[in-house]
Order: sequence, then C-alpha cells, then structure tokens
Amino acid sequence: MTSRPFLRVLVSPAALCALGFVAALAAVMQYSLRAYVPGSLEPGGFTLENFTALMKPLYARVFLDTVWICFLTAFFTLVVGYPLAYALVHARNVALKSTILVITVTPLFLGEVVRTYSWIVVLGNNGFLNSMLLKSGLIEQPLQLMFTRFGVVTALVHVTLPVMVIMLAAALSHVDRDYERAAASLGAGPIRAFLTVTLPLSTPGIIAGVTTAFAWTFSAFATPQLIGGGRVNMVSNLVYQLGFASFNFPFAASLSVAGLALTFAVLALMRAAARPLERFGPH
Amino acid sequence: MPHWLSHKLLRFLGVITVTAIVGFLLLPALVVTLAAFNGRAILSFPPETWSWRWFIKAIEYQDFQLGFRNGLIVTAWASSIALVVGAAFALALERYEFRFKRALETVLLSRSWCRTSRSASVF
Repeated sequence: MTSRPFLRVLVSPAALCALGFVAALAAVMQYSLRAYVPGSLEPGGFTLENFTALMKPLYARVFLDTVWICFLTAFFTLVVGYPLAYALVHARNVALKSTILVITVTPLFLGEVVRTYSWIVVLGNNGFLNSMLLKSGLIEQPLQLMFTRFGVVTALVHVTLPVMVIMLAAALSHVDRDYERAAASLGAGPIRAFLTVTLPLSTPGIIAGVTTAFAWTFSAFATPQLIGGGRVNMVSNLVYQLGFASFNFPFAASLSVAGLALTFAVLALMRAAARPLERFGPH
Repeated sequence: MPHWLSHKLLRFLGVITVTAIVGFLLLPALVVTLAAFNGRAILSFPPETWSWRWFIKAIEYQDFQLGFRNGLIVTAWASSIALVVGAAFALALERYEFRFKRALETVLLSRSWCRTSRSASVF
C-alpha cells in the first residue's frame, strides 16, 4: 500500500459531518414512522398512518402544485438563461464577459430573505412594477402579483438563473465554434446554424441545468412562504406549518420523506426522458 | 433582406435580449436600494423625498446591532470550519484512495439537494 500521510486527520472531520447529516436524515425517517400524540412533542409508537394521511387530496394537491411550480421554474430559467449563457461564452470583450458573470451570480449573494423581500417591494400592489405601470397609464388597477403563482415563479427563476447559466455556459464553451463556421460556409444562416448545430450540441448542459433547477426549486422555502403568503404552498411550507405551527413532527417528517422520494422519482424520470437526447451532445 | 442586414438585426436583438435579462437580474437589488432612500414612512415609486433616515434608524436600532454582531460571529465560525474541513477532505479526495470514499463524497454533496428534509431535521 502506498503511503498516505495524514489520511486520518484529513478525512475524519468530514466523516464526522457526514455522520451528522446521515443521523439527521435517519431521525427524520424514524419520526415519519411514529404516531402523533396531540399536545405532546414526544412521538408515540410506530405506525404507517402518516403516509396514508398523505394521500388526502389536500396534501396531494400541494405535491402536484410543487412539481408544477418546479417545472415552470426550470423551463423559464432555461429560456431566460440560454441567451445569457450564450452571451457569456461568446462575448469577445473580457471586461464585458466578467461584468455579465458578476451580474449573473448576484442573486446567490443576496441571501434568501433579503432577495425575497426585494421581490415583495417589486411585486407588491404599491410596489415598483405596479407604480410604474399605473404612472405610464398602461393599467388602471394595480395587478395582483403578490400571493400568486406568477410572483413565486418569477422570484424562483431569478435565484435559479445563476446555476442554470453556469451549467449552460460550461456546456456551450465545449462546443467548438468551427462547427458553426462549417455550417455557415455550407450556406446555413446564423439562425439555422444555431438551431441545427449549436443548440443540439449543448443538450448535455440543458439536461444538467434543467435537472439541477428542478431539484433546487423543489426545496425552496422562503420564496413561496413570503411571496406565496399561504396562497401558493410548496412542500417545504407544508413541512414548516405542520412542524412548527402544529408541532406535528411525525407528519412533517413523513411529508419531508415523501418530498425527497418525489424529487428522486421526478429526477429519475427526467433522466430517462433525456436519454434519447444525449446522442446530440459532443462525442 | 441582404445578408449583412440580417446579421446586424440579429446582433441588435441579441443585445436587447441580454440587456433585458441583466435588468431582470438586477431589478430587485436596484429597487430595494431606491426604496431604502425613500423619505416617507410609506413606500412609493419613485420616492417623493429622499433621505438617509432609515440608515440612521437601522444603525441605532438595538436588534439590528445585535443581529449584525451575531451574523458576523456565526459567519466567521461557519466559514472557517467549512473551509478547514472542506479543504482537508478535498485534499484527501484528490490524493488518496480510501474506504467509503464514494459514500462520503455522496453524503457530503447531497446536502444541497435535500434542503426540504434538512429543514425538518432540526427536531
């Protein structure tokens, strides 16, 4: 065996952290199988009741809503992110390139609550957007943007964009521009060259970006909580309500476990659906 | 349409699109900055009067001072610990082969994927 100096010292802190994560997850799973004793923080005996209660239409609807919001967010993030990633990769001016990159990652540095609060100031009935639209005479009544799915998806697209752009840019930078030039020299216009050459070659980035955006959005909490205001609920908001308002820890835990399982199921489905597309990627 | 014109048009449309997206990214930060200098107690756009009063209020506000101090302490501890633990593990990951390497890596990276269950794991 080769010598591995300090292996134990290097790995054990990380292993301790990993142990902590696994223990937390195991605790949640254990709680999800315990009975809820009203008025007590201590759970009762083992039962499957929490999972049968999940089948109620009320909860099933929140799960469906969450998946739908995730899809909308992933889709619009892709649509908005692609041009930005393209500009980021193909900008010739270095200063312009770094400006685009810095602006792209700003949402990640704003912090979840500050960013969400900023969106409330933008979307509110007396907020920035409505004031501007009213002043310009385009609308007579303020638009209801807060507490709507539109508002929640807008704010979620905003925070998912950096991740999407970075993944798309990584894929786009691996696409050799000579292919595009070859298409042009064979008579394809810029739009046709993009649609038949560059876009298909960037599919690995699109697949990676969309899956990550989906998983990223599924666990969103502050955005649907504050912008949805109880009218747009996602799984994490339900977990919060049950765990910290009703103190029904076992049911909150089973919701978390079901949410996690649903994320994995949808991601696996997306992977399977994307498999036929992978042959488009660069070989 | 002549060839060079369609190229110019596309380029122009591209610049407009990218500018709009950059505007979308910056919008909340810009708007909240404007709102911070609003002179009145009620928010309106554009602000009717401008002032620094909210900044002075924030600095004088006890809870803000406490929160700011706590924020600094927590950030310093959390980022230092994460840096040391993460850097050490990254070095081992890169240089050595050891038992449970894959498993450890998966668990440590999975955290960012399952935030929902993490919010529940405080109990």
